[in-house]
Amino acid sequence: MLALAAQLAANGLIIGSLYALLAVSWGLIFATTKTFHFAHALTLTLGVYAAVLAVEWGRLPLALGFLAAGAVGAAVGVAMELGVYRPLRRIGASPLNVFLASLGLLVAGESVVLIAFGPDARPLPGWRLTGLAVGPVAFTTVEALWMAASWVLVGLVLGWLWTTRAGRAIRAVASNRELAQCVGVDPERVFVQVFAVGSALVAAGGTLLALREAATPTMGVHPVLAAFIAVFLGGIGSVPGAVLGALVLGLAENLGGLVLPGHWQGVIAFLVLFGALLVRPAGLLGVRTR
Amino acid sequence: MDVWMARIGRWRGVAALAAALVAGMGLWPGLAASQGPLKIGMILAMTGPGAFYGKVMSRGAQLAVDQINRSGGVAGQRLALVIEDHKSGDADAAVSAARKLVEVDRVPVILTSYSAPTLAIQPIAVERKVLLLNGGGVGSALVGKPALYNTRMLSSQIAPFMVQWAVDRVGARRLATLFWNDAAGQGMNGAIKESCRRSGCSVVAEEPHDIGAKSYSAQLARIRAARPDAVLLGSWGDDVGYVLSQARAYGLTVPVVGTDWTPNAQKIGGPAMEGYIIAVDRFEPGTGDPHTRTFVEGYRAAYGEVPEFYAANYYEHVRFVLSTLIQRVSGRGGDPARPGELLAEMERAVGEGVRFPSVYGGDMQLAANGTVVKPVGVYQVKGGELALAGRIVGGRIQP
Repeated sequence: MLALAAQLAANGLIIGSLYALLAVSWGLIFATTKTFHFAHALTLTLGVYAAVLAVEWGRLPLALGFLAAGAVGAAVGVAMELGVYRPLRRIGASPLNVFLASLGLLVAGESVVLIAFGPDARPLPGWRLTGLAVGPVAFTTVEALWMAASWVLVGLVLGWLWTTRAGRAIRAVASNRELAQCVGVDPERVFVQVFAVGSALVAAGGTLLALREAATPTMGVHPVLAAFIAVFLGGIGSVPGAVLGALVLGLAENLGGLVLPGHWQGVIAFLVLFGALLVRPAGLLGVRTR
Repeated sequence: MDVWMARIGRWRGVAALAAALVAGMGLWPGLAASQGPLKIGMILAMTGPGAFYGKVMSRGAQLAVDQINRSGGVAGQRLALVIEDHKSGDADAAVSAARKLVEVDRVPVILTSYSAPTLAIQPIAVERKVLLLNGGGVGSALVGKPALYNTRMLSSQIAPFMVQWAVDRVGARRLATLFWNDAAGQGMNGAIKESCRRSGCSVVAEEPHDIGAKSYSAQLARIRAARPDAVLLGSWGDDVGYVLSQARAYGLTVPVVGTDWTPNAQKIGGPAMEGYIIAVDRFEPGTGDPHTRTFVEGYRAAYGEVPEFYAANYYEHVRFVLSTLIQRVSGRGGDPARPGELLAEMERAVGEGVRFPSVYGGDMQLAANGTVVKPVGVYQVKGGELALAGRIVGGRIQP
């Protein structure tokens, strides 16, 4: 039982690390632009297919596959902001309309990916899935890479947000858009920046995922849904909160396996969110606003 | 003169429109049938993690339709497929597709796959007197359902051989099961437990998973903690590749025995698939049987591949089962396109013990409870391909 608990806790930390990267990528966009960007899942998918094309067809090394994913992800995210969300904001569209537009983008985009690449899963070559063990805990080389890459990228984003001028501008817009505008920050420019960075991050996260789980047209929905839950669990507007929410979510999903069958993970995720929001409506690290 | 021709032409157009409307409303079924080819509905996994099945099943059926139409049709009746998608096991999508097929396309027969979608559309088939032929779903719950005939071995028929291999060849006494959380997977899990009870082994872990799941870390951790001697798999399609690759990477080295293998699962699982065992319907494309040869050569010419048993099952549905039924209905002066005709004829044929030709060699006979007995083989992945590891003779696996 102890060995199982250790294994499940390790699984939780591993997937929680990847969720943290995805949660930061979505939370950054949501906290700054207030756009419920459901099409983030499509950005993830397109980024992963870019990596598959680069590595499988272009015969490029996996590292360049990650770069291709990040570049395509950033381009797709910026295109969505400039082509869909900005025009909607300018005509005063309600948050529900923006959400529906985002959902439409996702559904249409997945269909295009399906037509273009077919329904078959496409493994991302370039990394062999081999096992590692520490005591009773087994994990894979891919999962070790998930943890390392996720924490490095999350650390870089946090450093960028807290130490650079651009980061301070983003935090200012996220905190109070009108006030930031008064001191010379251009919110629309900031929106483009967060869509570029958030989208590049989600594409990188998706590519990490594809090393174990292959690329499929609908692959983006589940991980991005986990990111939403982590963001709301941790507290909207708080990047450290998103990270904490992701870890709590990953651990809860997996440690639930001590008493429930493994396929109950999805139910556990929503139960944890529901329970946490009952106790702390603003999220674990969120600040309640009036 | 020109004026009269124009008037006749106008009335001809009105008459054709009226006839089309009457036929379309189902008020004159014979007219609807004579308007075009007999439509055969198919509800398959055209998208999702089981898209491989939809591809090969539709190809098998299409090849049979093409061969029949090239030779002038069955009893002068040409055939056409209408293919719908159940998105790899979505019962709601299957029901929508079935309603469209029976209400809009007015098909008298539906070729279906997967257990949950098949069970979901079966009441519609009964209500609308539509014949259902399943060549893909394996759930034990598919047995004894009115209007439904299965032309593949079901989990209750296959599971004993999976358990037999694990117990006799591997020496396993403690089995773990990992299976789809649907009618097919649950049926397979139940059949494995029943076979295990009879063989004197025990099931120490039972782990369901969602269809199309890509992460099995929680299930595999629980299975590993139960220390089984073998894992028996009730999963299909790409899922098999994900399970094997993750099981091996997590250090679960015990033999895995399943009932499905696809080229895409092999691609996903890679080297981890080596040694994986399956017990499954034994279709051998290299035999000299004339029906098998016609099928294999036609399939290779049309698609550039050697067919496997899923394509074979749906080829058989059209080429032999439906052809026989259409001939019998037409021979009696009936209209095979009329709802209920093919279903009634199937019930009569099964009652009479009619044996349909088969590409598995020889012929096949369906039982009144909708099951069939076909050859079963045990295969093992060697060098990335399936190799025959045993045949079933007298209910026992023989080398």
